[in-house]
Amino acid sequence: MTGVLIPKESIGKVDLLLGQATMLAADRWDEVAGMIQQAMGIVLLMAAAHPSSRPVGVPGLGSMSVTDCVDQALREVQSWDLALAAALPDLARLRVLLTDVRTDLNVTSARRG
Amino acid sequence: MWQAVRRELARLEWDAAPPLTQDLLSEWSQTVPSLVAISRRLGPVSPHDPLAMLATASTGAARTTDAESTVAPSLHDVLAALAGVALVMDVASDDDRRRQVATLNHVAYELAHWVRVRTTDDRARAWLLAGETALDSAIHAPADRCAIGVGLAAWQDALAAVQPVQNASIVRRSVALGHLAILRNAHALVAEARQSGALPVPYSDALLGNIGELARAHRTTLSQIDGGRLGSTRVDQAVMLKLGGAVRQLTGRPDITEPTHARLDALLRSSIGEAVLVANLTNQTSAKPVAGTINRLALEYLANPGILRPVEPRGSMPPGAPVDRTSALIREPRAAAVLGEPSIGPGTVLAGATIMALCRARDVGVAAATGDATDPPDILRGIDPSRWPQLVIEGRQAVTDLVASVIPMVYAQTRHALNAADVRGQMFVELMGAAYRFDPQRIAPERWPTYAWMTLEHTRQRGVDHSGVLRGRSPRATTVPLGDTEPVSREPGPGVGIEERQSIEAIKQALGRLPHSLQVPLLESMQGRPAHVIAEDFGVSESTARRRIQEARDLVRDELAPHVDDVAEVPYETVTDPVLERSQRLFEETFAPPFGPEPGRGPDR
Repeated sequence: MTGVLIPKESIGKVDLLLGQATMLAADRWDEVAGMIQQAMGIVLLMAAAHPSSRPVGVPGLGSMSVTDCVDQALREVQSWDLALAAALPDLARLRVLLTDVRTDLNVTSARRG
Repeated sequence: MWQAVRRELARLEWDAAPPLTQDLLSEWSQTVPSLVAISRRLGPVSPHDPLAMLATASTGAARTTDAESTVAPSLHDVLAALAGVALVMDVASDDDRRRQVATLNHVAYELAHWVRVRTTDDRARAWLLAGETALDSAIHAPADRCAIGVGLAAWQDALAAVQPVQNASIVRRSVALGHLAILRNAHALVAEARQSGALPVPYSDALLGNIGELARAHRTTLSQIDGGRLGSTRVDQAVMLKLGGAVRQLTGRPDITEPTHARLDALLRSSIGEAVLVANLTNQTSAKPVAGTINRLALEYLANPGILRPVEPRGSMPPGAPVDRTSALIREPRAAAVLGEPSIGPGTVLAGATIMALCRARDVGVAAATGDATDPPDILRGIDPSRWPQLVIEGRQAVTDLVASVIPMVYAQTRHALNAADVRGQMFVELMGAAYRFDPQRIAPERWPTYAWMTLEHTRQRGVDHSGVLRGRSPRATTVPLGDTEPVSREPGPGVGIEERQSIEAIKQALGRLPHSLQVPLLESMQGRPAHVIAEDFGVSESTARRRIQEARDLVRDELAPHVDDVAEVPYETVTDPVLERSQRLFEETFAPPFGPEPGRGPDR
């Protein structure tokens, strides 16, 4: 891969966001929680493979809901260059998972009114 | 070969004044490589080999920070004896290798236990218990490793790797996150097993409750970690990669070809992802007692693996509830490809579209099994050859399902037949052949049951001989006169009678040489007496009677083998197809005769 920079800080942010989402869904046993964990597993490995040299933070992380975390993680991932697919083979799976989780969360919240 | 080791093991136990070591864990760390070296002499050591897992666990124990040293009898002489074994280890055959592997596992297990009970540090002891459990499992309840088992072995390896840096927030966070994924997986599988009756309800409830508690404890751990400060501690990237890789493996999509009970079995064998070790690493007070309870429940399972019964594949129907599964098949074609059992109940009535889909899967599977990837047949064009093995599996599954849908016919056809067991066996062969031959393009797919029935009817009419072999099709040779030459007569020639008499004499002699306990059941069986009547006469169980008849047949056949060298007839199909075997087994389970053996009966087995 030449010419495409790995967005290490952004990966770090997504790692934090999905870690938070996993924590918030820790005692949920439904499919959505499973998909969040799948996405978390992908990003955890990405973050280990491409650690950021600077400390990464997400403002207001502690007060975010699962939906907020997933929304922001998806925005972050969608900002990445698609040419990264060669360097990050799980990228496509991550995007699909986050989209599905977001849809399911929205459906659930709509049902709850 | 093992005498020196045996002597040293005995000495460890009985020596009144043994030489002592100041650091048992350190000596144990030096001893384990000798065990692994012996294992390597016996064959490749995979990461999920119990010896490899013992090595990983021992590394974890040795890396326990600030672990107090244990003074104990020295392992030095044991180490020397093991090194001696590694030097001379040689195996002559597979049997020999199996024996040596069993001996090695026993020695390793005994030593691991000996070291664990003497180790004073709780955290190190938890590690040693993980290694001991892997060996215990291999010795007392061996099971094939599945994909999740491999992932769990990687997880254990990662936990050992993070020992020296366990206080780093980023490590504790990753461990808690990874274990949450394991707990979620376990929760889903236990809940499914509970619902299907595969696990006893009280046991399932205890597991589910403790899994939930531990998940909440991890949540507390994670909430106490400040995400913004994660990067402040520098942790070796290789360690984080190992941990990340293991979590990735465990959070990946499950292999749907693995039966549920196999995945749950692997999780229980791993003490649900080494819960105690995780609780020690995250250092969350509320996690430790819950993890301990999960560990005890897992050990309870290990002591009695029978509490987990195989779960019906998803989508299967209970016998007697025939329902078409067209929609399920189309929506999730791979879900049916659970190896080992039909995915439908016996006698399920299939719709035409379903039968078409099954035949299509069958044909694709056959093509995938025999096709050339460089020049794929039309039916496989555009399909990646890496998927072909899966298609073969799906094809076999489709044939199994076709057979399962008409299995009750076999019972109906053989209910009052003499030699019913033999006829049934032959009917299964025929049914399998029919399932492979049936062409829904030429015959309406809805007519599959009719086609199967006709096939079975034909088999029944031909019947089997007293040896349980289908009678051959009558030769229908066409006689063509050659000029003035008289055609060869179809009447047997004078030599045939002599040969027949010789054959009969050979059979009589073979029968005469059988022991009484085998001879009489076979003779009675040849006279058409059912197995359960023979069993009653002998005062044995029906299965014993059947076994004796079969054993007698085998002996007679072996005895007569030299006499049949020149027999032109090709033996009938040999039953070697695993799908067929499964179908037969399913049949026997579904339609067990009402006069079956009583439990526990069978005095002279």
